[in-house]
Amino acid sequence: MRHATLVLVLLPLLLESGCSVTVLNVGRLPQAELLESSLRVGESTPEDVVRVLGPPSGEGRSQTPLEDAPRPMWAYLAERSALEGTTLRESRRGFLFVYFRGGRYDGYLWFSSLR
Amino acid sequence: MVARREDGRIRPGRRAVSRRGALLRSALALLAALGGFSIVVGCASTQTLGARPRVEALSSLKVGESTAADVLLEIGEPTGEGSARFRPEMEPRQVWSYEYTRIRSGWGSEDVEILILLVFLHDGRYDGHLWFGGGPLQIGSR
Repeated sequence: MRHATLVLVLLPLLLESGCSVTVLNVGRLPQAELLESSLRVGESTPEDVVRVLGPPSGEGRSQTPLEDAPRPMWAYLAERSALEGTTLRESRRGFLFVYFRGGRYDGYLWFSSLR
Repeated sequence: MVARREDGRIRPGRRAVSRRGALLRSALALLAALGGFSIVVGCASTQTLGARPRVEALSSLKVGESTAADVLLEIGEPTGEGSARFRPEMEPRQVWSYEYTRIRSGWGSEDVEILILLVFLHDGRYDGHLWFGGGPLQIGSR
């Protein structure tokens, strides 16, 4: 009977753990207003960007048809996900890219579904 | 056959113990099967996050002419927003972002489809777009 009791106690826990909700928050998105209000295109330095936006999550390089030369870019990434068991209940992301040219702040692109 | 302990209590015979053990094993097997079935059925599903933007309708929009209302009508409601200033001489563009994720899970197979669309707006008019997507991408461990 001890085995049966153990199963009756563990089974609901097992079922619950299979579908319990886990919320994951990864990264941080800076305040986008600062891109225009506290930084100056062609003037602000990478140090200014770190001071205003904080250190980036990562870095990269960009040369789209809009650009005449490759530009270094910094990436700020954030994500919030809610998992119920193995099922994704919510997934929101935010991306903010900062471009540099000649060691100066040169533009940005950001978009986010985080609220 | 009924055996008695030294204290006089009746001790169940081997057959009785065996029958109880068999019942217990059957109950355990049934519970395990039900538990496994519930986990699979309870969490097996197709999940969609966001509405799939109608990227095929982008060709009906005209740069500098179509309004934000036209974008809403043709593409749908955005899931997020943003802003872009690609070049120093360029005025900032408003960005509407659309994220769509579809996850199919359960029955030993899991895959994901992702689509991201950015629509650029300038002075309330459609100014271009960027979209990319992929899938179904198999979920697995490497």
